[in-house]
Amino acid sequence: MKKVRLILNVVVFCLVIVSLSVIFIIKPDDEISLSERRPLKTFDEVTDGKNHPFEEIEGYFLDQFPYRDSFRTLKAVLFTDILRKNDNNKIYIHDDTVVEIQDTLNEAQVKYATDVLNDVIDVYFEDSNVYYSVIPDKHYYASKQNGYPAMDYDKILSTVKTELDRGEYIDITGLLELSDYYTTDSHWSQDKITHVAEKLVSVMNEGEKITPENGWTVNTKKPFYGVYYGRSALKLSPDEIKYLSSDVTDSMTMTVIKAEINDKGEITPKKEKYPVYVTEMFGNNDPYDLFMAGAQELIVIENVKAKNDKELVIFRDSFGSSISPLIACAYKKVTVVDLRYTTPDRIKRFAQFSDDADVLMLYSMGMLNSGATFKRFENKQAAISYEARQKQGTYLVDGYAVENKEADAKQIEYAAGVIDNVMNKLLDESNNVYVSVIPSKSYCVSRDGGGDTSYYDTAVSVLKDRLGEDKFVDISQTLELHDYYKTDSHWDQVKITDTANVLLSAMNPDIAPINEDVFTISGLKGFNGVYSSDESLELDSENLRCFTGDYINGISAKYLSDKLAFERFAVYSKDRFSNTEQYDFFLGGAKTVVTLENPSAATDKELVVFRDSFGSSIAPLLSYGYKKVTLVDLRYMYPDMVSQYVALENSDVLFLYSDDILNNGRILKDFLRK
Amino acid sequence: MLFSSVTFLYAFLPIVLVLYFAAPKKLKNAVLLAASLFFYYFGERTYIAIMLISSITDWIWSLLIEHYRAKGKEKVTKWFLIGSLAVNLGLLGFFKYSDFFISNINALFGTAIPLTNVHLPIGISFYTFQTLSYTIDVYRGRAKAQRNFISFATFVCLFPQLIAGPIVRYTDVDRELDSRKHSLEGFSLGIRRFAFGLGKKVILANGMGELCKDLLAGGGNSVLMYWLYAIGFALQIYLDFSAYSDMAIGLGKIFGFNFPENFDYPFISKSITEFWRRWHMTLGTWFRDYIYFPLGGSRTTTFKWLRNILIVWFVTGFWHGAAWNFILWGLYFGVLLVIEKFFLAKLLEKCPGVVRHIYVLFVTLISFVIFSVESMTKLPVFLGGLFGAGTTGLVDKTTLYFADSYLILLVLCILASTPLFKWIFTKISNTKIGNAVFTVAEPLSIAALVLVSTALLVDGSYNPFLYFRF
Repeated sequence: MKKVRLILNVVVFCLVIVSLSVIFIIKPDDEISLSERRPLKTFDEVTDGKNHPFEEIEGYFLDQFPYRDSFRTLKAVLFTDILRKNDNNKIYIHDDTVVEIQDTLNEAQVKYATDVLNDVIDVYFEDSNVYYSVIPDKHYYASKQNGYPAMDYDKILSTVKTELDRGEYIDITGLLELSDYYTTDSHWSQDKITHVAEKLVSVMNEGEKITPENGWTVNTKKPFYGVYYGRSALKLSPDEIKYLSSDVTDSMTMTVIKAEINDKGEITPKKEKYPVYVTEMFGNNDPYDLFMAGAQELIVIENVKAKNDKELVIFRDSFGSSISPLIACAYKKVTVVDLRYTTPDRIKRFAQFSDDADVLMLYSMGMLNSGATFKRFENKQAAISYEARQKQGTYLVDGYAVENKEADAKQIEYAAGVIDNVMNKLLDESNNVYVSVIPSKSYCVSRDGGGDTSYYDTAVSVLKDRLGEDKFVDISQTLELHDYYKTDSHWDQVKITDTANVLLSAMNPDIAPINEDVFTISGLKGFNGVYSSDESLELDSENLRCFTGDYINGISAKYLSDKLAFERFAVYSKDRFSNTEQYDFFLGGAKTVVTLENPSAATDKELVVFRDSFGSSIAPLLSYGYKKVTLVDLRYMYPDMVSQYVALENSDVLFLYSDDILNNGRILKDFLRK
Repeated sequence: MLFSSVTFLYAFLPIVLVLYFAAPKKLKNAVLLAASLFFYYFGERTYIAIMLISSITDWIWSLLIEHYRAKGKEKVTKWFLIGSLAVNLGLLGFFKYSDFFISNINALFGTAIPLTNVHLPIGISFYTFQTLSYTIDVYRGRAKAQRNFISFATFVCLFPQLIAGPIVRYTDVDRELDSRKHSLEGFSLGIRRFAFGLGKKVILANGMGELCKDLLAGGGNSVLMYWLYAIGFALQIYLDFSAYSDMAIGLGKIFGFNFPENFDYPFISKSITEFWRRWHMTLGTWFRDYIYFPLGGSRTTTFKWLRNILIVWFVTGFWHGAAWNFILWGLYFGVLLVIEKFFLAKLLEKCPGVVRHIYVLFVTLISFVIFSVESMTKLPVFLGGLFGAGTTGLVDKTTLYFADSYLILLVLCILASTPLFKWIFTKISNTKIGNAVFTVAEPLSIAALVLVSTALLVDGSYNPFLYFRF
C-alpha cells in the first residue's frame, strides 16, 4: 500500500506538471483576454529587447498559461466559496450584483481633476452657464447596505464643490440605487436613468423634455458580459444592454473626431459619422461601446429635431456615453469631450461650439478619484491666445490660418445680380450654364466642427434662389481644410483634382475622371501667403505646389493684353512668384481674359469660366475636359466688353466664384449699359 | 526565480528533472550545478559573480589549509582562514551593510558621504555563511576539503537551498555530494514535501501577506488593527519561511539530499528559549557553533556569558537586515533569553501551559512588530497602537471587515502553525482504513495543492518571499 502511494504521488505530480507544460508549449499565444479585456503578453514582447527576457518571462507564462480563465475561476471559488472571503481582488457580489470595493480616497487626484476642469472653464467658457454633477459608483450604494470599507465619498463631493471655481452643482445621488446599474458591469443601465437625464436637463435647459411623446422604444442587445464579469472570474448570468431610441435619437447624427497624425507628422482631426447607438460595436471587446462608439476624444451630436438652438458641451467619462444621447434630445447640438483621451488644447481646434453653449461636467466618483488620467493643457497660454484670435478673426487650425468672416447678404445679392445680368444678356439657349461656389477654409472648419457656416451657405442659397438651383454644382464636399494652403486663402492645385472632376462631370457626364498620372508634382519653396504677415500666427513659409509635365506643357495659354490683343504666356509664371502676390504664379495673376487651348483635351467642346483668383489654379485641370477654356474676370472687365473678346456661342459656361468674392460682390463689374 | 512561480513549476523544474535523471551518475552534480547557476543567473544575472568568487576562494582556501597542514605548517593555515573570513565578510559587509554604516556615520557626524546604493544580491547571507562554515570546518579538522570543484560548487550553489536556506553545512551533505541514493521513496516524499510547502506558501503565507497589506492600506487605526496586523505578519513570516524550507527540503529529497530541518512549530513553544530551538534552527545552530561557542558559550564568567549572548543576538538581528529595528529585534530576544535563564524559566515552569503559551505568543508578536517596521520612526506608532496609544478605539469598521473576510484563512493559518494537521495525518495513517484512504487522498491532495497554487499564481496574487531580503 505504501509503495502504491509513493508511485501515485510521483505519477500524479508529474502528470499535472508535464501535461500543463506540454499544453503550454503546443498552445498558440492568445493576443487578448476577452474576460479581462486586456492584451496579453506574447512571446514577441519577451524577445523584443525592451527588457531582459528573464524579466518578461514570468509575465508571459502567467498571461499565456493554459486554461487561464478556468484557473482564475478556481481561485475565485476558493476565495469566495471555501475561504468565504468577502471579496476576491476587491470584487464582491452584493444582491446578485458584482461590485468593486473602492476604499482609498485620493484627494490629490480629485484636486487635480478639478484643476483641469477649472482650466477648461477659464479658457473656453467665459460666457457659458456651467453645471456639474457627480455620478456615484455602485460601491457608494452597496457599501451603505453592507458596511464594507469605502472611500469617503462625501469628501469627493465636498472637494469638487469647493475646488470648482464656477458652476451649479446638480445632485443626482438621491436619484439612483444599486439596481440602476448593470449586474456585471460598473456602468448604469440607460433604461434606468431617464429620470436622471430629465433632472439634468430641467436644471440646464428649463422647459425642455427629453422623453418623447410616444415614449421610448426599448431595444435590447444580449448577452452583455460587463467588465466585472471577467474580473470576478465567476460564472455569472450575463446582463443585457437596453438602449432607448425615438425618432429624435434616430435622426441624430454623431461625428466622432479623432486626432490623427498625417504624413507630415501634424496632428489633424479625422472625422467619422455614426448613429448615436453603434449597434455593430456591441461585438467589441467592450459591448458598452454600443453607446456613442465607446471611448472617444471628441464627439459632436447634432439633433436636427431639436426645438431650440441651444448647444451643450459635456465633459464626461464612460458613464456619459449612455446618458448623452438622452440629454441631446433637449439640445440642437451637443459636443462631448473625454479629457482622458484629448488634451484641452485640441477641443476648440477640432470642434466648434458657440460661445454661450451650456457646459456640463459629468463624472463618476471613481473617475474623479483617478483624476490624474485627465489630460492637462499642453500650452494653456497658447489656447487662450487661440481662443482670443478666433473671436477676433484669424486663428490657426492644425497650423492652417483660418479667418472668420460674417456673411453679407447684400453683397452676395449684388454679385448674383451681376451673374444674372450676364446670363440674360450674353448667354442664350446654345449655352449650358453652371454655377458653383468655392468655400473658404473657415467653412471647412465650421462644417467639420459644427460651427457657423453661414458665410458660405448664404452665398449658395442666394445664388440658387436668384439663378436657379438646377444650375448649381456643389463642390463643397470635395474640399477640406488640408486642401488649402496654410498661409493663404487659396486652394492647393494638387489637392483639387476631385473638385475639378465634380465640375467636369457635372458639365459633361461623358468625361472620364482626370488621370493624375499625366502630371508631375513640382513645387516652389518659400511661399508666404496672405496670412504670413500676421506675426501673431507665427506661420512658416510653405511650398507652392503645381502639376507639371508634358501634359501641362502642351497647353497653349494666351491672355488679353493691354493692347487688347491675345498674347502667348506661360501657364505658370515663375517670375511672378517673386512678387508680393506669389499666387500670381498661376496664369500670371489678375487678367481680364485668359484662354487655354489643350490639343489633348477629352472633348472638342469649349468652356467659358467667369472666375476669380481661385480659377487660375483650377483652369489647367478644367482644360483636361475642354479643347478651349476661356477665363473671364469680371473684377477687371465690364461684362459689356466680354462678347468682343470671348466667343460664347455653343460654349459651356461656368460661374465659379469663391464665397469670399460673393460676400464682397460689389467688386464685380456690372454692365455699364443696363 | 521563485519556487512559487509558474516559470519554475512548469519550465525549470520539469526540464531539470528530466536532464538530471537522464544524466549518468558522474554527471549528475554537473547538471545540478548548471541548473543552479542558471536558476541564480535568471534572477541576479551579473551578481552571480559574487557567488562564484565566494565559492572559488573558499574552495582554494580549504585546499591550502589541508595542504599546509599536511606539511606541518599549522600556523600558516590561520591566514587562509582569515582570508576566507575577509572575503566572505567583506562581500557581505559591502553589499549588505555599507549603506547602513554610511547613513549612520552621516547622521552621527553630519557628513555627506554618498551612499553606494549597491544592489543586495539575493541569498548572499545564506551562501556566504555556508562557504564560511565550510572553511572553518576544514580549518578545525571537522571536514575534509573537497578536491572536486564541481562537487564543491554544487554544494554552494545548489538551487533548492541557495537563496533562502536552510543553511546547509558542508558536513551535512558531504557524503551525498560524492555519492547519494535516488529512490522512489525519496522522490515521492520530496514531491509531497514540496507540494505541501508550495500550498503553504501560496495559499496561506501569501493570504496573510495580503491581510497585512490590506490592513495597512485600509486606513484603520484601532487596537484590533494593530493586533490583527501583528498576528498576520507573524503568521506570514513563519508560513512563508517554513514553506520555503519545506520546498527546499522536498526538492533536496528529490535529488537525493537530506537537508536539515529548519522549523519545528515554533509558536507552540512554552518559552523563548524553546522558541529559538524551533525557529530557523539552522541559523541558530550556526551562530551557536561558529560564534557563541568560540566566544566561550556559557562555560565562563557570568559577565562574559552575558556578553556572549548579547553579541550573538546582536549579530542574529543584524544578519536579518541592515537596519536598527533588526538589531533591536535581536537584542530584544537576547535580553529575554537572559531573563529566562536567570529566573523567568523557573517561574514559567510553575505556571499552567496556557499561561506559558500566551507569554511566548505575546512576546513573539511584539518581536515581529519590531521586525516588520520599515523605519524606527514607525515603531512607536505600531507598538503604541497595540496598547491603544494614538488609536481611534478598540475596533474600527475597516478592520472588522478584514477580520471577517480573512477569518477562515486566519484560522487555517493558525492551525497550520501547530502540529495539529500532522498529528491527525499520523493518527489516521496508522489505521488500516486511514492508510488506504491516504493512498488515494495523498496524491490527490498533492495535485489539488499544485493546481490551486497555480490558480492563485495565474491570477497574479501577492507573491513575495520575505526571507529573500536577508
